[in-house]
This record gives sequence, C-alpha cells and structure tokens, in this order.
Amino acid sequence: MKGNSSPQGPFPAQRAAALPRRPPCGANRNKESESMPPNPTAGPDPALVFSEHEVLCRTPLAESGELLDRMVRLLAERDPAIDPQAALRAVLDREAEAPVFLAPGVAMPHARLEGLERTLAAVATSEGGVRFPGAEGPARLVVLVLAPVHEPAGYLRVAAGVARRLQDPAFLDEVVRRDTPAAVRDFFLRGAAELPEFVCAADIMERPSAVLRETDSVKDAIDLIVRTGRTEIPVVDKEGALVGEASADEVLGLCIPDYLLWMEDLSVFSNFEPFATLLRKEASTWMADILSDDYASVKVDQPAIAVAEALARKDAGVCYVLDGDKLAGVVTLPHFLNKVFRD
Amino acid sequence: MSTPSNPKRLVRLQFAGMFLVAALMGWLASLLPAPADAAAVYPDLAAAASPERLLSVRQIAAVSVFTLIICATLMFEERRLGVAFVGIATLLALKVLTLSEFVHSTELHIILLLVGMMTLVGALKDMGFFTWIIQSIINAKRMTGLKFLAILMLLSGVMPGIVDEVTSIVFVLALVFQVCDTLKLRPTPFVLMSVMATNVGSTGTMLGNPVGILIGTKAEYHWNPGSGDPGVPLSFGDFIVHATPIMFLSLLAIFLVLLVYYRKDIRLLDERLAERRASHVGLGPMVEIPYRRGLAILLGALAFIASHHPIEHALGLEPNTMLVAAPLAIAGLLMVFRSHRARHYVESSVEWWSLLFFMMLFAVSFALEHCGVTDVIAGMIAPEGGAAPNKFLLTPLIVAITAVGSAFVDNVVFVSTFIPIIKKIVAGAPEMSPLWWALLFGACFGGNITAIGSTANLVAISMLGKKYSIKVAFLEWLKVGLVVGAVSCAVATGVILCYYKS
Repeated sequence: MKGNSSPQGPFPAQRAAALPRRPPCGANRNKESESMPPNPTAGPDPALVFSEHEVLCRTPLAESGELLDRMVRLLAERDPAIDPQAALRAVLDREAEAPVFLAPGVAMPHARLEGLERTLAAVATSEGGVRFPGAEGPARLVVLVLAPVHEPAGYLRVAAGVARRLQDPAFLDEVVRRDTPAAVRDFFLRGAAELPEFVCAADIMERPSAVLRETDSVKDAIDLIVRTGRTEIPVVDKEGALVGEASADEVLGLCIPDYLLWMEDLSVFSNFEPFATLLRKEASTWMADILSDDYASVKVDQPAIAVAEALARKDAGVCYVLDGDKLAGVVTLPHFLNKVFRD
Repeated sequence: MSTPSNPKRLVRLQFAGMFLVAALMGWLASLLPAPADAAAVYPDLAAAASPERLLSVRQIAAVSVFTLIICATLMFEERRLGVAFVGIATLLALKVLTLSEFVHSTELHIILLLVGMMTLVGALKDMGFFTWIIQSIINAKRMTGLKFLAILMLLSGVMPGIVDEVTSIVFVLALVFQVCDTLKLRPTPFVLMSVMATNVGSTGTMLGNPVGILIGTKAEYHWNPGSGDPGVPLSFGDFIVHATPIMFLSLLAIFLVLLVYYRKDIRLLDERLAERRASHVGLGPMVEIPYRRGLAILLGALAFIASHHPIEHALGLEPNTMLVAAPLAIAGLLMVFRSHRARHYVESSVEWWSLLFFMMLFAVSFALEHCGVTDVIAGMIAPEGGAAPNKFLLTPLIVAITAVGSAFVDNVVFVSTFIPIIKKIVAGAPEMSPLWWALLFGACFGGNITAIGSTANLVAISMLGKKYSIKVAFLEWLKVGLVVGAVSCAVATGVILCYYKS
C-alpha cells in the first residue's frame, strides 16, 4: 500500500474501541486514592458529577435545543452559580464550533463556565432519538457536561470515562433500556471504577490521518505531504510499528543541504535547480533518505501531560502515541491545545 | 566522596582545586634561583630592600597565573578568557610586566595574520567555494568506501594548511554528515577520522595552525650551524619543504591505522555506497555552483602568501613582514569589493574569543620568560656547560613532552611556553635547530590523543553533539587517539632526526 490517508474514525469512542483492551489510565492511582483523603484538585468524583435529579429518563423531547435548555436548568437548580441562559448559550456556541457526537447515537455537548467550582453533568436517554442540527442521526444518549473554565481535565476525564464505557457495544442499548433515573445512574456508576483519575494519551489522540510505509519512496512521501497538508508523517513497518517520521523539513533538507546554505545568496538557483535532482530521482529515492528518528512519542497509557512534555522537549508539532511499538494515534499541537484550552 | 550533584557546588570545588594547584606551582616557583640578568630585566630591583624576594614574588605570580590559565582551559572553556584577563591584570599590578611589555608581547602581528585568514575564509564560504568542493566529492562517479575515505583523509589533511584547522573541520564535517545522513551510518568513526587527519594536516603549512604561525615567526633557525650565522624565522617555503613531507607521511600512516581500526564501519560504508551506485541515486543535489571566483581568489591569496619570502627579500623587508601583510591586503580588498558583507566577515567569521585568549596567553608566556622561569626549565632539559645536547634524546623528548602536554592543554599554551626553552637550547647548540620541528609536530600530533587535545576536536565533538546528540566517551577517543598519536609522532621523530646537520 502506498502512503495512505487512513480513514479517520469520526468519533473518539470509535478510536478508543479500536485499541486493544487495557486497564484504564490511572486505575492504580484510583486504588491508591481509596485510602487517601479526597483531593479537592483531583477532578470530578464520578459519583458527584451527576445525581438522579439530573437524569432525564426516556425523554419525549426530540429537538436538541429544547432538551439542552431543560438539562441546563436541571444543573442550575443544583448549582446556583450557573446562569441557565449564559450556560445554554455557551453550550450552543461550542456545539456550533465542533461536533458533539462521541459515537453514533451518543452526544456529549459541553461548555466551560466561569464561576463554576466543579464539573457537573446531566444525562438524558431517548428511545426515539434527539435531533442535533447538522448531525447525521439522532442521539439516544445525551450527556451534558459543564466544567469550570480553569480545569482542563474536568470535561476530558468525563469524556474519557464515557468513551471507555462505550467500548462495550451493548452499553447504549442497555442504558436506554433503563426506565428510571436511579437505574440509569446506577448503570453509569457500575463503570465508575473505569472513570479515569487522569486523562491519558489515548484519550486525546486522533487516528493518524496519513501514514507511510517504510518501503514507500520519497515520491510517495511528497505526494502525501502535498495532499494532506501535514508536514510530519509517521512511517511504519509492515507490522504497524513506528520506524520514524518523514517530514517536509527533511525533504527540503534533501534538496538544500546545510553546505548549500553556506552560500550568501541562493538566488543563483532561481530555477529551483537544487530541487531538480530529487525531482528526477524521487521515485527511486528511498524513504530512508528522509526518515528521522528524532520525533516525539508517548505510550497510550501515559498521562496526557506526557504528550505536552514530549512536544515541548522535542520542539515538535506532532506527538506519536504508541501501543507497544505500534502506532496507535497522533496528537498534533493544535489538537492538543484545542483539547486543553477549548474542548 | 560522593560527586557533588549541585552544579554550583561543583564549580566552586573546581575553582578551589584550580587555586590549590596554582598555589602549589607558585610554591615550586619560589624555589627557583634568580636569573643572572634579573637586574637588567627589572631595574626597580636595585632599589628594593630585598631584591631576591621581590623577584621571587614576580616568579610566583607568573607561574601561578600560567597554571590558573591551564586549569581554566582544562575545566572551564567558557571561563578561560575571563581567567586570562584577571591573570594579566594581576601581572601588571605586580609589575611582572609593564604596560608596553604587555602590548608588545601580545604578538599582534600573529593575531592580525589570523584575522586576515579568517576573513578570507568567510568570503570563500560566502562565494560557494566550499560548497562546490563538497558537492564535487559526494557526486563523484564510481565512489567506493575506500575511495571516499582516501578523499576524506586527504581533504582533511590538506584543507587546514590552506584555511585554518577550525574552518577545515567545520567544512569537512558537513561532508561527513551529508554522507552519513544519506547512507544512515554511524557518524562517529568518520568524524574521528576527519578530525585526526585535520590535526595532522594542520602541520603541513605555516597557516594550518596558530602553533605553526607562532613557531614560524618566533623561531631562530640556524640553517648552517657551523657558520656562525644568526638564527632566522621560518618562512612559508621552509614549512613546505620540511613540514609538508612529514605531514603527508604521517597522514598515510594514520590512514592505514584507521582503516584497520574502523574496518567494520568502512565495510558498511562500502556496502551502502554500492547499493546507491546500483540504484543510480547520488548522495546529494547536483547543481552548478559559481565557484571560479572563489577558487581564483584562494589561489591568488596562496600564491601571494607563499611568495612572501622573495618579496621581502626584494623590498628589503624584515622576515615574515609580507606573511602578515599579504592576508591583511587580501582581506582588505575583499572587504572593499564586497562591502555589503564586510561587517559580517569581521564580526562573524573572525574567532575573536580565541584570538583574545591567544593574546593573553602570549603575554603570560612572555612573563614566564621575562622573570627567568623558562630559562631555568631550559637549563634542566639541556644544562649549560654540560655535555652537548643529544639529538637522539632531545628530539623524541620534546616531541613526547609537547604531545602529552597538548593532549590535555591547548597546544598554543604549550608551544608559547616552550618557545623560549627551545630558543635557549638552540642558542647554545645551533645544530639542534630541528627541535623547532619537534615542537611543531609534538604539539599538533599530541592533539589527537584525547578529545580535548585540540580546538578542532572540541569543534567536532560539539557539532556531533548538536546534530546527533552523540557524546564521544573520553576512553573511546583515547583508545584510537593513543595509537594514532604514537604512530604519527614516531614517523615525525624519525624524519626530523634526518634534518640534523652535525
């Protein structure tokens, strides 16, 4: 297969499901924390994120606007710091910016609010489905999350926990089948042990949109860089193990090596002469010529902060997430910033 | 004792050690006898209550400052210039040197010669001359591993003689990195081969190494020892006739040693090059580089510098006047005609940090000579009134001492200290003039023994670290460096012994 743009799963839960089953991130810490006093900065306690009062079981509401308004009001009753109108506006604004669907049938609208002290959630199930503007299908499970603006991990941890519950294909049907708010909440809390204490790399990664094989040529790499607009592309072997990174910088370096830059003025090559050599031989030039092993990478179960560390230390624009030595996903810098500052 | 983990504490410990060693050397200096001409050197001694004590204080100061500079060079590359500045200020305050003696002893003519050459090199780099050489090599037809290494060693050996050793290693390593990057080879063996050939090659001409310029201009060489002729400085031509052949012989010897030592890496290089040849893919882009102007300027400059001796003779100038004037004139013309780059050449191409350090070092060496310390050491090596100096003993001894010393300390430090000693020995026994060559080859070849032995080594290590995050272990270098250093010093000693005229 020549340098392919692998189809990106549109839903985070699908990405999580594609990974082999593994212990949830921070599972050990959860066990440790049982004997420790509660840490106010530790993030949402799954049992405190929502109560029966915030569960709308088998709601008859079919439009997302009405439902979200109702759910926001439920949360405002729980926490007076929430201004229902402002909160709804923030949720709708966020919805307009990015898709809210975590998986087919599961929507997770959210917003970050000033003045909120902790992450709160409201859950709604619907047998007939709730329509969201622009979405392909209706949502049967809606989880609204309102998180403090200063706590980046709040929403991410709830999203990661729900995404993991969705790895069970029967989860959605099961939860919609529950006919009382208490039953819905109990069903959610049965998976409380899986609600992570911290967000890990796998929770924020995307599927790589473009991957090269080590047997590809430089021509394939240039084609893929041009087609996808990505400047760094992971290179894997036939088993899917990451062997390096092909980058636009390396391609440029192949054409304009350091010793050419010693010259005061490269305008003598006004017809791109240094590129002509590669242009003639790009199909027969090995991938190894542009393969760099100096890239940022983390393991899937490392805390997501390790991604930030790897990006910063390597001064990289993309961090590869590895499951063993296999490429599981990527986190680009803009994606990471979006997750921490905006999601 | 555990290693101090706090970097500040480590620095404090290093400073304490440095001052301890300097104090010890100062104490040893206090045991030195006073030179016979002390009163002529320091007129103020006559008026002193205790002239011997005053002189002793000055000797202690000179030796301690010299030791501090050596220690600073070893331990704090980035602080050595600062230590040298403070040292000079101390020598001036203690009247070891007067202000005019200090200015005179900084050897401004050598510094200006180096400034001229560095400016020329900056312009050549700008004009694509070095780019053209690298491109010509990497795109050579039918390149094999052995052929590439022969070219690499020859280039590394010849280039420092034309430009300086630091420029040469930067330029040669660009070639090495290009080849290693493309062929995915471990760069360390090829970097070490290049830098060792560079150290050997830097002895080939007078311009290859500051040590060569220093020896050439300061030497008092007796070409006809029995005639009573005064000793004369060495010229560019003298280096070509006497030093270049030794350089080539030594280069050949270390090439053979390194071929055996790195045979596995060389075999891999050969295999990868063969694969490239088979797929008709080169090692880099092939473009037409306008190199002719740079080449013409370089050849013109070399011809001008090489003919300094006949020009001086024709114009009735002092020896080596044109050796300094020629690079200055060439650099000046380049700056006039390329005025838009003139500031860049002077500010970026000239290694002011090293040059200022050299100036301080020359002054401290002069201070050692001035207060009679080097006389005493020369007397220990070749006692006056004793048996005639033995060339079979002294030649390997000087080569060995300077080689071992230069392995750990900047070779300019060693040579500038040894010049007065060799001067003293040769003044008493003019037939020992070839000791000047022993000093040159010992100081330059010794630089191959350790990773800190020469500026070229330090530059190479720094480039390797910066590009590949590779650190060369001290022992890894020492293992191959000892063999290369011993072989090259043996070759040089053998040939130098043939230069004696009894």
